[in-house]
Amino acid sequence: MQRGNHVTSGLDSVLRLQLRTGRVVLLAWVLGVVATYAATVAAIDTTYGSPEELASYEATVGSDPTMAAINGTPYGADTLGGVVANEFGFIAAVAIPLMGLMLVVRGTRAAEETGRLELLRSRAVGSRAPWLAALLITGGALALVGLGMAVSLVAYGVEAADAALYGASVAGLGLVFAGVATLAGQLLRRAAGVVGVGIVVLGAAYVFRAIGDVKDNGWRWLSPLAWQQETRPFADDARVWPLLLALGVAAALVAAGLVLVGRRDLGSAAVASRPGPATAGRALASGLGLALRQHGPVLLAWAAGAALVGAVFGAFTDDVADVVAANPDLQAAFSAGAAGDPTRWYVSFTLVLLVLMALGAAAQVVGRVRVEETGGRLEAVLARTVSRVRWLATHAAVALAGGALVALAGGAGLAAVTAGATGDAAGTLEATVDYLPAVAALTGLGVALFGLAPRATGLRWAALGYVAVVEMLGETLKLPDAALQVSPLHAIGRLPTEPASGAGVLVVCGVAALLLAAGLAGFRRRDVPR
Amino acid sequence: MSERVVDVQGLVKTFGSFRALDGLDLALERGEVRGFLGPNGAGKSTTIRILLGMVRASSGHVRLFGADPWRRAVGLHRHLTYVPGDVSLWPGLTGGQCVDVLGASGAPLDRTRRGTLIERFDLDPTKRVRDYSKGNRQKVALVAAFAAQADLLVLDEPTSGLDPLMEEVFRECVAERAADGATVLLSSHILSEVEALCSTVTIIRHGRTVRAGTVAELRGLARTRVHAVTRSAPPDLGVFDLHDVAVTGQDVTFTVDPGDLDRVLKPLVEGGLESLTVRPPSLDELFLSEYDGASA
Repeated sequence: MQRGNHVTSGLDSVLRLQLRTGRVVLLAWVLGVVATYAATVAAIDTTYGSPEELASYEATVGSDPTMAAINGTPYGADTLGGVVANEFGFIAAVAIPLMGLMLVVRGTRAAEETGRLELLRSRAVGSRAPWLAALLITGGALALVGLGMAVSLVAYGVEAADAALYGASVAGLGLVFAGVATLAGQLLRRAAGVVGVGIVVLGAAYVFRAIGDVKDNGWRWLSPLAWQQETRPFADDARVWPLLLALGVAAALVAAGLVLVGRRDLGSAAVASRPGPATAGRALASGLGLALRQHGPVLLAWAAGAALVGAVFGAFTDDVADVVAANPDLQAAFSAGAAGDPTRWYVSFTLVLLVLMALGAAAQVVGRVRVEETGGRLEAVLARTVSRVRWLATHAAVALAGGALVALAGGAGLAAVTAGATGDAAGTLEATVDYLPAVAALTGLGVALFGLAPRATGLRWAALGYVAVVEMLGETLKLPDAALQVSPLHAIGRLPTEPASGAGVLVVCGVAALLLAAGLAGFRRRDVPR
Repeated sequence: MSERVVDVQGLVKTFGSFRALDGLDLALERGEVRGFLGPNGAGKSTTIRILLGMVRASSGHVRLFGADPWRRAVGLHRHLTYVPGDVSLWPGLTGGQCVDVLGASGAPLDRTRRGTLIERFDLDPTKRVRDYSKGNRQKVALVAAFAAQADLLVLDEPTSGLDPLMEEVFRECVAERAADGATVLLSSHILSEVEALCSTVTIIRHGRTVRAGTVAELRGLARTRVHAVTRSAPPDLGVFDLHDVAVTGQDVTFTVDPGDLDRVLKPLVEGGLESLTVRPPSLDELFLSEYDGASA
């Protein structure tokens, strides 16, 4: 018998395998996040170069409650690091948790679900080895991201200790979500379900952090996002203990997950499946019925999440108005700038957030369409009297309608809660409807990739990331107008503070229609599977 | 509708620089049960995907029920049903739901047959697909295929993962559907299955048809194996057209075309025999030599 802990044996070979098969994805995450961050640092260093400019930032943007809700409380906003942390707050709050989540799931549940892990485990590979390997790789990638961020800051003259604390706190945030994936990965059998749980946790973390930051209360401590933010690396009262809290929670989640994985069967989960009906109802037997069955639950979850985010963020509108009213600098900034009425400005920010959620939902549906093909089910479907165009069009329609549902649910929640503050619930809803062509454009892009270059279907996430960066950071980064206009949201305009650009809506609709048509035509002509 | 259900001539399919199919021929007349054989990677599944209109032929003539399957896929699928070798189904649905989903479009399901097939294949239709073993997933696809009122059954290694009892049920079902007049294209590696079910076979290698004919014709091509132990030194057999000859002392083995058997045995019997075994032509050996590329 070989000595050693059998549940972790084979760790080195699994580690090498995961690195080899996941290197492109790893590289994309690390480079993508660090490059966006470094660009933000450079842009802000140009815009707010002098102490006076930094002080004016703190007096206006830094105390803008709109920003507190979306990006978090801007601690130390009179320093370069603090301004960057605030401007980058939303991107970091979404990208870093997703990175921790997806990187762990990729090498573990996803591999187990498809059966790849079974062959590996038949070798001298213990049950914990794949999880440990994925955690080590994820931890390493997060450490690289933290390091890259810290180096970017130091390069622009930020104190090394502050930069290091910031980088570490960001890595700590990712580790918490790696821990969430490790524990959820033992409870659910499907990789998509594990990611779903992680996204729900992220949504809750975002909402709790926002409540805590706007109302300045203890709700924030329920949120891993606040544990990162509350290290306040660039403020005078920087502290390490929130980072330790994050690391402690991450360690506890990981430990619980690793204990469970040593006890469960390969391929099993705590949540067992129940028997179901022996025959399919009439609805399920239709192409649309099957598509709805496949995508419906995910879309409804997104819609519920969007409605919740819309309502919770909408509820802060009065606080925003109060803070602006009490701050002459902010008042001056609002009346001088293009932003106009602060409550509308805030509503438009929240609306962008909701539309981004809708884009995410549509992108996810397109991903599941691609899985139908890679998973081998598409062949069984197309061997029936189902035309390719009709099949893809049905799924595209579900993605589009689902994305629209998510946006409208969020917009309705926002409109209902902010009706008193804005006095214009209809305007908020109308703005949501005006943004729907953007959902069609991203769905179209996904369908075009699937039809023309199916192996590149993943690029739709890169496109979504780009749109998010443009919407949240575009002005800060001083991106050229052409680069901004590529984002369909930007092309349509900042609603409802300004009216929707009629030309923009038309162009986005046209592009969406072209992309959809190209995707359908491409899918009609290509081999299946590819 | 044309009598020839499948008509493939000179089929070529290239993936980049790789030539998966290189002038393949395949024909099925109405009511024919044809075995489709070849080593791994010979191009069987690619051919089937082209027949189903999922993959486009690079060149060559392909007709299914007289029509181009790439252009007319949907209409043609009304007349056929397909079982892949590695069945992938929707993990959240039950087996019964999957049968209905698969049967909802295309050749209509015979509800009575669906019920009896579920019993014969011993399938629990209320179980979720993710809880099925490979064999049980395969059974779901088979039930859906045999319950369909289809003119053509396209079966691509349909019995992989089935136990011997279920394999038997499968053979009965194919025979019944064939008796009903259905045409069957059976791609398989199980030679006994092909021998039992098929009247004709097509053998392909490296994307090309190397042998096609009736099983009886092929049997005629196969040689009879003779093993004789003679009383004295064996007679000179050099005048006959023998193959694989091995002589050690009085022990003689060789293979011979069945037509020559009586002439060869005569001198052996006349010389006096200790023992004689004559094994009838085995398709296995023929198939294996075709797979190998060893036969002329």
